[in-house]
Amino acid sequence: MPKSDKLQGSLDLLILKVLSRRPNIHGYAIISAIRQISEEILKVEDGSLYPALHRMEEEGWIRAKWTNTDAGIRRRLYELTKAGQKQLAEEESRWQHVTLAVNRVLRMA
Amino acid sequence: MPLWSRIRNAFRGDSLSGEILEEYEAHIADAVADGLHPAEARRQFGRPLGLLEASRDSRIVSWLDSLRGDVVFAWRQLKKNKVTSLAAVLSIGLAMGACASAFRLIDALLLRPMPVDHPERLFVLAHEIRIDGKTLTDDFCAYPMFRQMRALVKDRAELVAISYVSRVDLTFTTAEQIEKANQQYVSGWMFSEFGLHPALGRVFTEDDDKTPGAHPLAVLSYSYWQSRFGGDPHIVGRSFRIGNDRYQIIGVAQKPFSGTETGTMVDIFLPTMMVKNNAIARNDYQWFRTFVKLKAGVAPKTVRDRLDLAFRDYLLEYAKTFRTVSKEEMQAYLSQRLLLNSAAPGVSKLQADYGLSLFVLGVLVLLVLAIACLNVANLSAVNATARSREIALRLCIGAGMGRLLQLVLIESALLACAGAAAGGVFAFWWAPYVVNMISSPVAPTQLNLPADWRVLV
Repeated sequence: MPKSDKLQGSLDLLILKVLSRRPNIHGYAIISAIRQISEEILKVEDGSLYPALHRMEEEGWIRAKWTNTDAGIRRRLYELTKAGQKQLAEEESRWQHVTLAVNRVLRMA
Repeated sequence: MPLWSRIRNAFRGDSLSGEILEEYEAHIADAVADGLHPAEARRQFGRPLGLLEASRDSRIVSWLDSLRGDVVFAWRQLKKNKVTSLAAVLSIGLAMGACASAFRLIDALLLRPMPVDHPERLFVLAHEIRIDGKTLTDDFCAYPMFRQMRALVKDRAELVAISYVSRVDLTFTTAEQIEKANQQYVSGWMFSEFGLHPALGRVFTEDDDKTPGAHPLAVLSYSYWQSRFGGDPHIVGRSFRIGNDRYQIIGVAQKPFSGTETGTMVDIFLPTMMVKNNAIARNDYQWFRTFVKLKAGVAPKTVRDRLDLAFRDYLLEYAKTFRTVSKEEMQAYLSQRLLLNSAAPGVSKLQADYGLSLFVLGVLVLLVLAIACLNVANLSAVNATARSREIALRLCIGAGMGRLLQLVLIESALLACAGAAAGGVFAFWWAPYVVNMISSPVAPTQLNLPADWRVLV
C-alpha cells in the first residue's frame, strides 16, 4: 500500500484534481474525497495535506478564503486558479506518461 | 501575490501561525464530527508543530522573518546597554556630522554645478603670467578684446561677459532710505545662453545690451525678490536709483540662480553696457570675467586656440601703450598663456581663498571619523567579550555561524543608522555657522547650502 511518503509526488495532482471537480471546499473535505474515491486505498496522513495546500497557494495554483460556518468555526475554502488548471493539465499528462512507461516495463520485462 | 504576500506575512508571523493552527483545529473538529475519537483524529493528523513549520516556510520569506527577529533582538540589546549605545551613537554622530558639514561646504563652494543649462560646457577665460619665477593667474578682461573674441568663435561658442559683484548703495523710494545690494553687470544674452527663464516679467536679451549707457534696466535675482520684496508680484515696472542713475526693474530671474560668483549672491543684474567710465571702449580697464559656453560637441581646445589669436593681438596692441617697462617684463607680459578653465561650479575669489583650506579640513575630518569608528569598534569588541557566554550558548543550541554573524551585523547596522541620523542633524546645524564665520557685514558671504541627498551620499 502506498503510504503518505510515497504519495508525495502525486499529492499535488490529487489535490488539484479534486479541487477542479469541487471548488470551494476545505481541507478535510479534500482528504475525505481522496479517501472515498480511491476507496480507502490512497491514505494520506491528514496533516501533510496542509503544507502542500499552502505551498500551492503561494505558487498561485489555488486560492483560499476564510468563511464563517454556522457553528462559529472559521474554515478556509480552497479553489483552483487559472494557473492551477494549467498545472493540473500538465501534471495529469505527466502522470499518464509515467504510469504508461511503468506499465510497459512491467509487461515487457 | 507570491513574493509580496510572503514578505507581508513575515511581519505578521504570530497571527499567521495562529491562522494555520486554526485551520488545523477546524480539520480535527471535522474529523471528530465524522465520528472519530478526538485522540485518534489527532493521531491521524500528524504532528501539528512540524507541519506548522513546513506551512510557515512556504508562506514566509524565511530570511526576512529571521531578519525581523534579529532587528527586534538587536534593538533590545542596544536598549539594555544604554550608556554604551549612546556613547557609540554620539561619537559616530559627531564625527559624521563634522564630515558631512565639511563636505557640504566643499560641495557648495567647489563642486556643485551652477543651476544653468549644461554647466559642463561652461568655461571661463584666465591668463597666466610668469614673473620672477612665480606664476600668477588672473581672469579679468577688457571689453574690446571680448568683442573681438566673441566674433572670432561665433560658430563654436558663445562668450558672456560677467562683471565681478560689487556692493552698491541704492534707493527704492526716497534719497533718505539708502540700502545695500549686490549688483553684477552681465551680457544681455547671458540669460538665454544659460537657459534661465524669468520667474516674473522678462529677463535681458541681446537687444538690452547694445549701446553704452542706453539701457537703464535691471533684473532681480529670485532670492532678492523674495527677501527684499516678499515676492511682490507688482515689482515689474518699479524703479530704483544707484547714485544719480535710475534703473527700471523689468523682471525676476528664475530660482535658484544667483550669479556666477560662488559665495556671493547677486541681488541685481544690470546690462554690461551700463558700466561707467567708458568701460566698453577702453583697453586698459579690465572689469569682468569672460565665460565661454561651448556649443554641443565642440572641444575646448579648438576654441582656446582661436581665442588665443585675439588674445595675442590684444597683448601686442596694449603693450604699445607701455612706457617704462623693462625688457624682461615686456617679455613676460607678451608670453602670457590663455587658459580655458571649467566654470561649472561658478568662479569666485572665495573658491581660490578657501579651496585648499577646505580640502585640508576635509582630510582632517575624515581622520576624525576614522578615529570615531575605531572608538566604536573598540566598544563593540569589549561588548562581544562580555557576551561570549551568550554566543557560546547560541552555538550550542544550533545557531549557525551565518545567523550569529547576521545578529552582530544587524546590531552594528542599527548603531550606524542611529549615528548617521545624528550626524545628519549635526551637519544641518553646523555648516551655516561656518559660512557665517567667514562672512563679514561688508561683504556678506552667502552660499546655497541645500541639505539634500547629494550631500549625504
